[in-house]
Amino acid sequence: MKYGYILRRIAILVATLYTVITITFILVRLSPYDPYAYFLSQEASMGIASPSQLAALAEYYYNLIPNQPIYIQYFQYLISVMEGNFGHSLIYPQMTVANIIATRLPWTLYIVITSTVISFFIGTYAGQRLGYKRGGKVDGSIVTFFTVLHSIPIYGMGLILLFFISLKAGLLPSAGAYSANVAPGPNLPFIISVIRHSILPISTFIFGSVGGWTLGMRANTISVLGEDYVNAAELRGIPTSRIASRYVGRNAILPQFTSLVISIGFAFGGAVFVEQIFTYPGIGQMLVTSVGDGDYPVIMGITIIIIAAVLISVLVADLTYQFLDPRVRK
Amino acid sequence: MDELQEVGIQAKTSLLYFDNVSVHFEIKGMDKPLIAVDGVSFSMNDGELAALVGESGSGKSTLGRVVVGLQKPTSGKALFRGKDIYKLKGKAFLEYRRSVQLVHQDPYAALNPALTIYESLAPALRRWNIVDKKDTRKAVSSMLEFVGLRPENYIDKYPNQLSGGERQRICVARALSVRPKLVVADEPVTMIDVSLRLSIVDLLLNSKKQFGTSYIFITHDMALARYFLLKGGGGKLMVMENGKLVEMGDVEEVINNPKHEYTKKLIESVTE
Repeated sequence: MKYGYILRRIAILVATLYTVITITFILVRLSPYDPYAYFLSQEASMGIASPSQLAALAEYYYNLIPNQPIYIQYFQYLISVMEGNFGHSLIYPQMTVANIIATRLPWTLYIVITSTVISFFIGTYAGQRLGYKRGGKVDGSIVTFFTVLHSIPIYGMGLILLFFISLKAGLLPSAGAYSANVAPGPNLPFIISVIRHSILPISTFIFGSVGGWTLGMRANTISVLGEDYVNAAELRGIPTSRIASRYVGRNAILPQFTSLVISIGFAFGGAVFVEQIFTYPGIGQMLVTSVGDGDYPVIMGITIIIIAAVLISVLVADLTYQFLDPRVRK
Repeated sequence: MDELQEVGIQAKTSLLYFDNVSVHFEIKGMDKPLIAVDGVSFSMNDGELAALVGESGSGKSTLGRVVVGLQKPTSGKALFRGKDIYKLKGKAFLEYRRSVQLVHQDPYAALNPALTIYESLAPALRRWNIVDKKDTRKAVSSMLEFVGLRPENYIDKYPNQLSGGERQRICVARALSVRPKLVVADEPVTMIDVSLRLSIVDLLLNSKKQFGTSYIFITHDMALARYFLLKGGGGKLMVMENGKLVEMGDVEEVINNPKHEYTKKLIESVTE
């Protein structure tokens, strides 16, 4: 493993993250509709605040100190974000943004990671089977099915499931992460309730992505099946099961794996839709709520977290890839 | 003995016996099928060398694929030890495939990039019980030695760490490792550095000497075909044009006294 390479990748990640933090600052502070100036004028017009109180409020919520030059405000903001201090929510003044993210993020992680992993396994398995049966009748109709499935937008899929499974058939709950009548904690009723509430959001993610995994794996399988080393292995009488795993599967899954890690990051973006549809208390739903409330400190915090998730997963994909593909290893 | 009987005996005793073999490819949007191999007949005996010469598109690779069992002919008889290759079932077909190995043109595409050299070579040895489990590593090492590679430097490497010439040596070792009776070498040195080509050809001939392996050496290069056959102690030169075998005979006879125009052209293009 080349340490220089890892360091360079981490430097790129830090630089990107820094840019993102800067952009969130610029968006809030310098946009024509300046929510921060609006906040200050609103607080002032309520007549409660002396200038010093106003400054304290501004720092409390936004990590910004009014009446300072803009670059000082910028460094102030940068330093507090690096300390993990994203300010306070305007709507729930007693909560820090970091607190809100910490209570919401586990739900999003649970939904996103579970669904991506399940979808990946189903898609990879189905894709390889289809690749082997390429050109047949089964292949044609299943490929059509997955293509259609893949082209339904994730919010459309969410609404379809919500309407039929939950509202019409009443099979599964339509909102929340668990029922009001169970006590959160490591007890069976709570766990069952959590699972029942998560089935629909997870299924939405799976239906939205399994088509892509399947079609991708099918295409990779077909191209690997045409490789000389596969028919050389057949000629030597290597057992079919070994060819399927070590020759075809191993080489076809490599590009899939990169997409897997990256897709976990991007699923955070998809979580905005899915969590909103199922009123699931993750950061995606929090983001939508905050936008509606004009709760800018929370919006800024969640934006940074979502982008950080994408960046980190891309980095992980990049670094783990070399363990899987000997061609990248040196 | 009448002619028919004689043919029958030849078909049974030959290692390989092809009678009027054709391969047609149906192509969408074309009314006529593409005729890749057109009524080809020839036979090969144990330990015999043959070179199949023709320009690209003449159907020589397709014929090679028919020989190794990868391409079912549209019509004609393809016999291996008197049995129709494409009617063999199950274990018999696997045994046949093992007996006839292929060395590909492109050494970069012929090795599984995910496996080390040992992992590529060992399973087939185990599969056919060629060596005891505990001796597998030793057997792979000796195959590498045979193709001129120091085992300790290569056995645990991945293909991407090797040069084209080294990879092709590995491919030869891999083909020979299952003790084939016949090897089809399809343009085995075309993608190899010119300075290394003859050493790979010599390697193939060594295995003929040591194990009695028969070869069908496919090439577009008349000079190389001649080198292969003469250095190997003589053999059959087959010239292919547009899917047909236009000339076939002992190498010296064909080179010195070519009958077909196409053969003359190929020989002239070398001497010029």
